[in-house]
Amino acid sequence: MIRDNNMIELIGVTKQFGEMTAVNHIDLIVKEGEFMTFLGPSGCGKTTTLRMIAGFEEPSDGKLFIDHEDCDNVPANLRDVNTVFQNYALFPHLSIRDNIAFGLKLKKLSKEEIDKRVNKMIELIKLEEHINKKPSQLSGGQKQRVAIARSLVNEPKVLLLDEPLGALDLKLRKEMQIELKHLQKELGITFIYVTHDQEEALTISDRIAIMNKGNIEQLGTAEEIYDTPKTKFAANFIGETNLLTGYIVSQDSEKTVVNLHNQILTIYDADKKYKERERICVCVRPENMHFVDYLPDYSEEKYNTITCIYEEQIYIGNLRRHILHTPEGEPVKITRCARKGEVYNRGDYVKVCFSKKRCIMVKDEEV
Amino acid sequence: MDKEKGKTKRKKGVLGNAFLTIGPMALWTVLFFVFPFIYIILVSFCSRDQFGNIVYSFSLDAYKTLTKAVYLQVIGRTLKMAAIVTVLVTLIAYPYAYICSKASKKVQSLLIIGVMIPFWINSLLRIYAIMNFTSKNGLINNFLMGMGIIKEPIQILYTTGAVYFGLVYSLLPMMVMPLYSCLEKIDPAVLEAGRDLGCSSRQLFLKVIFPLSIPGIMGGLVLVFVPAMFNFYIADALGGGKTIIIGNLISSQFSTAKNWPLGAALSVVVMLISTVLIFVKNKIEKARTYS
Repeated sequence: MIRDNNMIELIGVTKQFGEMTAVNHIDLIVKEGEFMTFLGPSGCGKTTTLRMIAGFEEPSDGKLFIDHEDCDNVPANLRDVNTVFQNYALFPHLSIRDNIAFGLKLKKLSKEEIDKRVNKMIELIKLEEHINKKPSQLSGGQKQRVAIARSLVNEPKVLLLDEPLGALDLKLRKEMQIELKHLQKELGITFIYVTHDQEEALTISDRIAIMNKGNIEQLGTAEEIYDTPKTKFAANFIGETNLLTGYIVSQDSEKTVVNLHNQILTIYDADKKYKERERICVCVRPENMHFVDYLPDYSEEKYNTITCIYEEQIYIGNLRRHILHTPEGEPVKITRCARKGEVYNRGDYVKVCFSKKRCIMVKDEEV
Repeated sequence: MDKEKGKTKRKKGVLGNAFLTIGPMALWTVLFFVFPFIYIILVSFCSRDQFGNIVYSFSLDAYKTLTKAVYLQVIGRTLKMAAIVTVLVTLIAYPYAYICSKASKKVQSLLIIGVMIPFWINSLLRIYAIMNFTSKNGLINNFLMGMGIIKEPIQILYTTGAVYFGLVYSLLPMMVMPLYSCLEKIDPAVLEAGRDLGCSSRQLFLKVIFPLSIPGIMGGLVLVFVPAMFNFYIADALGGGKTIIIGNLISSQFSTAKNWPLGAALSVVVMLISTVLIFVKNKIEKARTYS
């Protein structure tokens, strides 16, 4: 039998809590050695999915395989996965060393083997001088390292991380993100990471599963998800975006013609098929939106042009964010390099444009 | 109106307010705890005349009397009894508190109320109720005879067993409450972490839950052991005065025997034992947190 390198397989996995469906018929494959992130707002089912893989929750329906083994009725303690919890969940009564050695001691490994692996782990997380302290004596970042070490020392097939950096301050969080990513590449262990922070997801993941209301909205690499969101939710949730509502006029094999409040636009995006007059949103990232006045190579063939009303600009250091709105009241944001210093006044009518190739369409739906 | 009142009060200054709030409490403590405490220590170093009046001159008579074998025996017996009661209470309270902490919120409050309500009724009254149940023609004997299990009523009341039962029964909440609050505080994520790292249910209890509940047990130990050592009316009522322990010995020195210095000296000894106990408990707790 040829074995594929699927580490985790979810087939139609559903979880219901009473009347509430937390996870709704999810299919997902996570490859061996992959860094997969579940990204979504709170209550989207990402943590529940993770807890089902860990074995803390039983799926109401569907199948779950870990390394091709059916996990039906396999309790958490017998699954070859380990979890890093959001609030660390270190054993308060044990020293750092004993916390890390906990899993190995349960496996009844020899003392030499345990010492060897624990020492290696402590070296890896750079906490040598703290090994005899209790968790309460460590800082948040240190606790998080211990929690990760405590899981990784068991060399699990999959490491599950439930918003592990949620309680850390921004600077430390960014450092830890990079550290985690390096650690994962170094050890080659499959990571499944849950977060609601889209920037974090883009930074660390090989692939991202965007979840909403118990469903996976989109699955793809960070670039795929950022550049070609498949749904309005995905477009909105990842990064900033301008959503302009309109309807389809016509579509052929290479381009789509859209009516945006009686302005006709051409979009070179024909991947998704739409019916005539179907309501859609045109998504343009703020960095792909330009002022016609400040675009030297502007031409009507290359760019779609719309007229907006200027509101204000916000200076954020390296960038300047311009806020405008369409005559119909839809907000339009443009981010530009700060030093370019365009000057408009509130209420000015301004022509803005975006490349016909650098925009995509998603179905207009309630999100 | 209320706001203005608050303003004028605040103008009196911090000290005035502090006295208003803590003052009555401090006065109460000094009057009813500190003075009697000092008085007892003083009396223990006095002697008495043949009529039982206290002679206020320094003497170690009372403490010398205590070194007699008969008194040492009483102290030993009391310590043994308190120790056994503490062990029994712990063995019963642990599963109860554990079930409480695991149960749903509704069941939890029911179980806790179940322990607390009897506690609100005067303990002497409850002891009388037990006497009623256990006497020769009480409920238990009547029931057993009615069922034909026994022919003659058995002696339950006025035995050492009855005293043990009374003490365990009265002191149970003192162990259940600290244990419950300790078990209930255990972070469910920590238990999940234990599972995640490979614990079976038994291992989870032995390696995570039990060690984390030790502070609760330690708290309970002091709350049970010390009152078990001091108690006198349970031994009197349920033991029929046949079981002499420090508690009823002290009470008899102050009442019938009219030997206040001896009673006071005994009290001081018990106080010292409890102080040492609490001291040791604190030491152990400190060692556990900062090892």
